[in-house]
Amino acid sequence: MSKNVRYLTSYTIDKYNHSLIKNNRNIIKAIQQNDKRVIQELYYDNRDYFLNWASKENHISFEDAKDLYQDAMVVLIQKIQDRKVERIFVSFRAYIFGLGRQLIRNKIKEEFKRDKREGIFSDRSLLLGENHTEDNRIGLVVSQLDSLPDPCRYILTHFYLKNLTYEEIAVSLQYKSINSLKVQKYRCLKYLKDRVFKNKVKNI
Amino acid sequence: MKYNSKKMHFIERYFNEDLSKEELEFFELEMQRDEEFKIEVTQYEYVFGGLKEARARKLKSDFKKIEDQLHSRRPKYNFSVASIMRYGAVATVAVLFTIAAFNFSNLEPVIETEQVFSEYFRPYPNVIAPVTRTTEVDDSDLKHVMSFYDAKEYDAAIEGFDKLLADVDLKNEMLFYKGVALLAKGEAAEARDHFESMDQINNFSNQRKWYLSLALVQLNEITDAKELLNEIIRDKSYFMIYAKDLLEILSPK
Repeated sequence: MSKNVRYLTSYTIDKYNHSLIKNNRNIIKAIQQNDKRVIQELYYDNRDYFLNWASKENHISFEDAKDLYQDAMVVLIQKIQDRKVERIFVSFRAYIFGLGRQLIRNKIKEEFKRDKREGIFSDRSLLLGENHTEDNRIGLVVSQLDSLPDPCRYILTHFYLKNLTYEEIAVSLQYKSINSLKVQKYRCLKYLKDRVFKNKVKNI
Repeated sequence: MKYNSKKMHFIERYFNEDLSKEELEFFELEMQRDEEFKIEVTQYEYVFGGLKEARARKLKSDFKKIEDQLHSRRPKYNFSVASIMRYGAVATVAVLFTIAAFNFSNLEPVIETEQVFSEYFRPYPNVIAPVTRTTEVDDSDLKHVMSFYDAKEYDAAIEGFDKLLADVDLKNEMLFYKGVALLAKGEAAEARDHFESMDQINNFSNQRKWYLSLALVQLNEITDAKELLNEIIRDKSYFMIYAKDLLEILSPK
């Protein structure tokens, strides 16, 4: 990644020359296209403000604040790339702070619940069990995805994990139409699902 | 409901919360009515959830990398006056030395080409086996060779590509995949020769440019690599995303 990323990009976050909404629209478009430079710039641009706010006003450690900031950024990017958020009417900073506030609330709730559980059962295996279940699911799905033959592995990885569009994948794999790529993607998805559940049954 | 891609599209839209009110009602009714469909939806929920969570973790690890870069760039401000004087003297000498070095030589910034190459190189997927039915070569020969390529058995694949190179219709494809296989083996110079022997206008012209630029990076021919990367960006091909990144790395300010 470029070292002088803060001074680059046609989408540079210009606070003075454009209206907020127009500027937000450009940033959203760039994130939808997975423009890494814009995502990186957004990360740098709000990081210090967020860490100061989270650690001072919410009394959490700097390391926890960093972790929360990254979680907030993950939620933001996923919401935009999944087209769940197409417009933002406040500044990006305010939006990220809003997400952070929600995450902090969840974290406090989770810790309270955990303390209560620990107090009652003196047993953390329940909580660890939950994490293991999630880890197992990701492990199983990703390992089966990795072992799929091409073009299935390529299509599903690029569509679901790298967030490429149908158009980009079609060009790269030389599909003549988007529709035939879609049909192939669903065929691959069924293949993946069958393999995941065949393996899941085997491991029980 | 029987299997078809429309049904799968329908299920995916359900998980993306993209169904209209009427479609959602129909979907939920179908779940109550058809036990098999309900099981299928539950299974897809598991798969989609796994994919979504995997993507979230990848994003988070990308942010952690950004954070690491930030730390490696930021200076630590804990100097005493004496140490500032000491570092100041050393820095002055270093600056004078650097200026002299630039005046007397044509120093290029050091780029870790090996590291850059390994970060960006991925063997191109096998997309030719299903689209070669019109060629005179026996389809099974091609599939056989490509199965070696898929299995990353590059020596056997290269031997097979050499045999198939005689076929005029397949020549470009064989040169391309052989080039990629050579590149995967670390034989960048030979890979470059193969990519350069391809017709510049063919079905693999975009792919050719990208892998040729990677071969040039591997060979430390940075000026030529940059020229090619700029071409990829101008072409607006799929590889543009990677080309922009790589170009930045190759152009340290």
